[in-house]
Parts: sequence; C-alpha cells; structure tokens
Amino acid sequence: MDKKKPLNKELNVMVALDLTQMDPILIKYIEFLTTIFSIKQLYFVHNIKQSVLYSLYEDFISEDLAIDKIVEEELQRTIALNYKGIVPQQLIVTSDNYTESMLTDLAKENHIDVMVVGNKNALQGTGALCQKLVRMLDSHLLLIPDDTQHVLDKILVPTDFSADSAVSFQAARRIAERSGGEIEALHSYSIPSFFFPYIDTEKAHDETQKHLDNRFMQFQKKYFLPEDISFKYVDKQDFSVAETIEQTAEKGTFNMIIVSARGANNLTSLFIGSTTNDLLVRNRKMPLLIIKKQ
Amino acid sequence: MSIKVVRRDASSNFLGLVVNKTVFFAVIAVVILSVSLTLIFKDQANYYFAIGQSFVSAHGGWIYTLSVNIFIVFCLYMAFGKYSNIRIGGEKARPEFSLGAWFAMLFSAGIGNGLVLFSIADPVRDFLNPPRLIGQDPASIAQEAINFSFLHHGIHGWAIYSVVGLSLAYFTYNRKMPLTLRSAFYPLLGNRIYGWMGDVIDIMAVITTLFGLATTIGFGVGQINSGLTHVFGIPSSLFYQVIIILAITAAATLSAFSGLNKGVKILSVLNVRVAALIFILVLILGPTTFILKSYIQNIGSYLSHFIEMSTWTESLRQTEWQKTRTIMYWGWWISWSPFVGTFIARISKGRTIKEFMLCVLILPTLVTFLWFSAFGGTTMRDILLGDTALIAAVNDNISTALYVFFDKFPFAIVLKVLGLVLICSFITTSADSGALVIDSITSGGKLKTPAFQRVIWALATGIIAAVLMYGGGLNALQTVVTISGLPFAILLVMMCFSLLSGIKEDHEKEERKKMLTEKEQYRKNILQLVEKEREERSRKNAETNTEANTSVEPNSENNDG
Repeated sequence: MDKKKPLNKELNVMVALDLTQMDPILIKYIEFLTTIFSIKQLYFVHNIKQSVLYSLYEDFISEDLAIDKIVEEELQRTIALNYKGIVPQQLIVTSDNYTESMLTDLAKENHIDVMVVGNKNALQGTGALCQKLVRMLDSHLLLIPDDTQHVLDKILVPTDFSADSAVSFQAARRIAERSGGEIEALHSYSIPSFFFPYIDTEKAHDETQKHLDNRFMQFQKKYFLPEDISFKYVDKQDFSVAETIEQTAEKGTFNMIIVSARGANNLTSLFIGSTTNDLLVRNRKMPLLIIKKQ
Repeated sequence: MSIKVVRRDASSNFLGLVVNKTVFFAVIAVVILSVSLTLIFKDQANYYFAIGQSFVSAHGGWIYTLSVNIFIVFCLYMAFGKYSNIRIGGEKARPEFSLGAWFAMLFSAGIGNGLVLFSIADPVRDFLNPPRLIGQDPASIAQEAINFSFLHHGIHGWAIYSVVGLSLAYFTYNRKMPLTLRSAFYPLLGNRIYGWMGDVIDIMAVITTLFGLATTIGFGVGQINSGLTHVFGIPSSLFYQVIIILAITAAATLSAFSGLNKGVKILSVLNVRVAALIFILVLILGPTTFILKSYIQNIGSYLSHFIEMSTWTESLRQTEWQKTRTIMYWGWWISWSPFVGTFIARISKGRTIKEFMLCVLILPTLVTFLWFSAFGGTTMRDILLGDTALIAAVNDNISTALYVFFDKFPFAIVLKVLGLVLICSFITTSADSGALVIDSITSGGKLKTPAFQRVIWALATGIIAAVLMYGGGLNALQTVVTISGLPFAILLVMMCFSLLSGIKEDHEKEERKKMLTEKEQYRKNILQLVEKEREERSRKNAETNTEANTSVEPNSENNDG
C-alpha cells in the first residue's frame, strides 16, 4: 500500500454529495478548507442509486427524461452557486447500487487523500454510509455536521498514549501548521474509588494528574510531538470516553476532533476502535477527522 | 381473515400480592411437596437421591458438557462479532449503576460463596483423587487439580450466566418484554410464551433457582458453622446449622424487603470490599511472589489444556469422577443461572454487548483465577512441601478448609473473622437477590412488587435449605441441582438460538429501516429534481408556444389588411 501523504502536502480531496440540503453546507466548508489545506484537485462526486429508481425509470423514459443529466445539471448548479474557490474541481456522477463501494473505488482510482462526507443531524441522516466508509476506505475520512462553522483554530485530539493516537497528533500538527490553530490533547481517566473507598479521592486525583502529565511528556518525546500542545485530562466519572470527548469538545469550543481509526489493511480495517466508532455514531455537532494509519 | 393477538398481562392481584397465579401456585405446590416428601421419607431419601444423581450423570452428562461449550462459543461470538456494539436498552440508554457497583453486584450474585469454599477444597480433593494422572508426578497432579478447579469455577460457569443474563436483558430492555425467563424464548415460541409453555418455563426457572440457592445456602451454612467452631468454639451440629439458616434468612428478608438499591447493593459492595481485603492480606502475609508467579503459570496451563478438559467425558474410563465434580458443578451453575441471569439482566441496562461480555464472562473469570491461585495454589505448594494439615481438614470436613488455611498466617484470628463475615455476607446476598429474582418471575416480570411478597421467597429458600439439610445433607442438595439443572441446560441452548435470532431480526430490521429511510429520502430528492425539470420544460414549451403565436398574429393582420 502507498504511504499516506502528510496533510500539509498537496492533497486530492473528494467530496461526496447526496442531493440534500447538506450539499451547499459541504461545498462551502470545502471552499473554506481550500484556504487552509493545499489542495491539488477537488472532486465532487455523486452516485445515482439505481436500485431506488427502478420503478420510476418507465416514466422517465416515456417522458424522455435523462436522470443522469438532470442530476449532473443540478449538482453543477449547486457547485457553481456555492463554490468560489480557485482549486480546480471536477464533478463525477456515477450510477451504482452500492454507494460505499463506488466511493471506495473512485477514491483509489483518483489517489484521494481525504474523503469528505456530510454527517447529518437536523437533516436526519442515518449515518449508515459513514459507518461503512470508515471501514472500507484507505483514505482519511472527514465528517462534516450540518451546523459547522468555518473556523479551524482549535483542534481536539483525544489520546490513550498509543501509537495510533500519535498518528492523529501528526495529522493535527500538519493542519495546525497551516491554519495557525492550536492543538489540545485530551485524556479521560477514572479513579476506581469504588473498590478502594478509603483512599483520599482528592489526593488520588492529584497523583493521577501528576502521573498523566509525566506520561504525556514521555509520549511527546517518543513520537516527536511539538511541545506547544496543551494537555488536558478529564475524570470521565460514569460517562463513556466518547461522551467525555464530545462534552469537552463542546465546552471548549473546538472546531475539529481528530481521531485515528486503526490500521487499514484487509483484516484490521474491519475493526475500528470502539471510541472512534462511538464518536462516529454519536457526534453530529463537530467536524470529525478520522485518520487512517498506513 | 386476520387474527388479532392480544398479550395478556400475566400478573394479577391476589390477597394483596402481585403474582402470575399459575406460576406462583405451581411453585408453592412443588415446594410443599418436595419439603413434605423429604420430611416423610427421610430414611429413604438418601438412597433415592444417590440413584437419581447416578442416572442423570451417566446418561445426561454429555448433554451438560456439550451445552457449556456451546455457551462459550456463543458468548465469544456475541462479544466480538457484528452485534457487539448493540447497547442493552437501545442506543441512548445510560447505565443505571457505575461500573464498579455493577461489577460488584454481578460478581457477588454470581460467585456466591463458591470462591471461599472451593478455592482450597477443590484442588485438595482433586489432588487426593485425581481424575486422570493417577500414579504420576505429584507436581503434575497438583497442576491438573488446579486446572480442573479453574475449569469448574471459570469461564464455563460465567458463560452460562452470560447467556441467561444477556438474553433477559435484551428482551426486557430492547424489546420491552417482562423480566421473566419466558421472554427470552419469544423468537422461537412467539405468542405461545404467554400461554402454558411460558408458564412451564417460568415454573422450571423458579424451582431450579430455589434448589440452586438452597444448595448454596446449605454449603455456606456448614462453612459458617465450622467458622464459629474454629473462632468461638460453638459446636458443629445440625441444630446450629438450622439456627444459622434462620439467621441468614432473616438478614436476607430484611435486605430483600429494602430492595435492590439499598440492601442488595450495600451487601454486594461489602462482599467485594471484604473479599479484596482478605485477598490483599493473604497476598502480603503469604508467599507473594509465588502467588503472582503461579497465577501466570496456572492460566497458561489451563489455556493449554482448555479444549481437552472442556470436552473430556470420561468415555474411555470406567470411573465416576465426573459425576460428583464436573457434572455436579455444571448442574449447580445452570441451576443458579435463572437467578443470577435475571439479576444481572436487571442491573445491566445501558451496557453494550461487548462491555457485558467482558464484565460478565472474562473479568469475573480472571478474578476467580487470581483468588484460586492465591488460596488453592498456596495450598498445593504446602502439600507438595509435606504439610498435610489441609489434606486432613478437607478429608474431615471441607467447610473447615479455609480456617485451617488461615492458621498458618500471622493474625489468623482476624483473617478467620473476616472470612466468616465474607461467607455470611455472600450467602445473604445470594439469598436476598435470589428472593428478588424469584419474586420478579412469579409476578409475571414486574420490576416493582409489594415488599412483603419478596419476604415470602426469602423465607421459602431458607426453609428448603433447612429441610434438605435435615433430609439428606449436602449429598441431597448436590443431587437436586444435578437433576434439576439438566432440563434447564437444554432450555439454555434453545435460549442461545432464540437470542441470536431475536438480535439478528432486530438488527436486520434496523438496517432495513435505515436503508429505507435513505432510499426514501433519495427518491424524494430525485423526484423533486424531475418535477423541477418538468416545470422547466413546460415553461419552455409555453414560451415557445407564445413566441409561435406572436409570430403568427402579425401575418394575419397583414392578410386582413
């Protein structure tokens, strides 16, 4: 497999459009991203789901309606209306029963580095496509919610001090270099006070935090991470890790969360990390970049 | 013509009790009958119990062995398969208890006092009467004795609880069905679970639970009596044991009366804390390095012999070792499963299937192994070094093993008292959570019932334990669980298929719903575009027609002119 291109290099980005109100939001956000990333080529792509339209084809033919042409014209109109960037863009309209397979193939064919899809909340998306894509794609996946803002000055990177999360920091660093934003690392911990009721919880928190500070310093050294990354730890109490990340991101007015999916080889791509999976299912409020490790 | 099926509410009010009358009275009848028969035919009871146990072990042992292995495969598939991220109670459900309290409660309910009683007695018994390595190197026999105690108290038992617990939790919280055993069979039996078939399942579950609990209380009471003898010099006799049963029953009654969030939770927390304290003391005061070393070795040895031991059925030997060991244990675990499973289901809302399996299947197993390595492992080491005190103790009365074990430690009296507290607390937790579960099943799955109704079941368990102890002692109790567990083992295999089919059905339905929503949305969008195109076309046509008309009109004017 090709080595993944660092995010501060020239990138090929593909944006999946779905003919909903999400399309203008995505296109405008991509236009914003072109001012931050160095994007070589932008692809807007839409797949016409034939299986959904089988029953309508008879009418279309009798009325001489070419559905692919109609879709293409509509997308061209939406792009023209919402995209004013200078990065060259190309529209691809395909026709297949399986959108996720088609997007995966197109991404491979066009050497795509980042695939961008909408993560609908108010627009009532099911999130099913994202769940499949994150397992199938080789490229990184960026999920954009419907009420996203065009700012990228605070990036949250959750960490468990693993090699996988180090990859997320590398990606965050490249983005921050270009956006001039800051990176904050987040680790959620819990103190098993239930089984040790007689320990001083205050003291335990202090000790844990000292230990975590040390651990983060070692982590920074080991993976050559920049020293200006601020490190935050949160007692997750009875919340899940994904819930803690979500709450911290909202409270801290972050603009993006970056997490790592595990490897992308044939076997491990089937198993993405459980926190990443939880975030993928739960988070519909903040752009989420899922980094695929080489 | 369509038939409308209406689910009837199984419970009704009877003398202020909220009960499913069929289940409630059938169980009461069986309890009265078994207690009376044991009291009337006390002398013959032992003989018939022995015949019963031999018959079930000889002809049904393989069913137990096959079933428990199926449960493990099933649980591992659920933990790591495609359904592992499904959350009990739906995607947005939140856990009712913290992780620590949840684990403490399920561990306390599931392990009972087996941890305390058998961690020493089992390896010693299997060392003295080895299943397979007779006449070989004593160290190998000792290792195999530990391996078999891991087999009997490890992952197989917790897999049984996991099957019942997960099934009931899923059907109760995801399908909103009553918290009774019958609910878990809905995918297989359909609406028949609300008829006599469901009643039979629930009656079997309650009876199995009552006898399983009685067995545990019987063993525990013997151990408490031995502890009182060791510490306070109180004689060990049936009279004192009956008094202890009454005391335990009274404590369990109080706890059950106060409900899940008070008595049961407080006692469960006490269990885990006292057990942790005893373990830490043994680890510090005992051979620390040996315990930690042997933990690793024991797990390795157990894993390397896992398949061979799990499927061993004594078929090429004409021995009857398994009858009173493996088969009895499978029967005992299974007879506890309706109760522990229901209890675990009751407290597991908000957990994912993966979390559930890690905390109900894997974690308790690892904790149990650690405890067995500390107590059983140290005992084996001492025996191999020539100390025969524990051999004598186990031969005399297995209930005394723990106290003899503590004799070698500094501050032995403290450890013995703590051990006694732990056993009392474990037994009371089992009895009170058992009463809550039986109450839930006999009330048709109600989560809230009148408090005095729970008291009835706490008392019933105590009475059965006392009478069976009087009628035939521990042998009678072991025989009863071996026999009553067998039909339930078959039901549990069916439960696996039922749960799988239920989850699969719901999962597919959910996927279809998602797909349909997306398809519908997409179709709507395309139709909107087409409509726009049609409007555009008709607008263009109209314009063309107008242009055509305006270009014709001047000509006609000219003609007129």
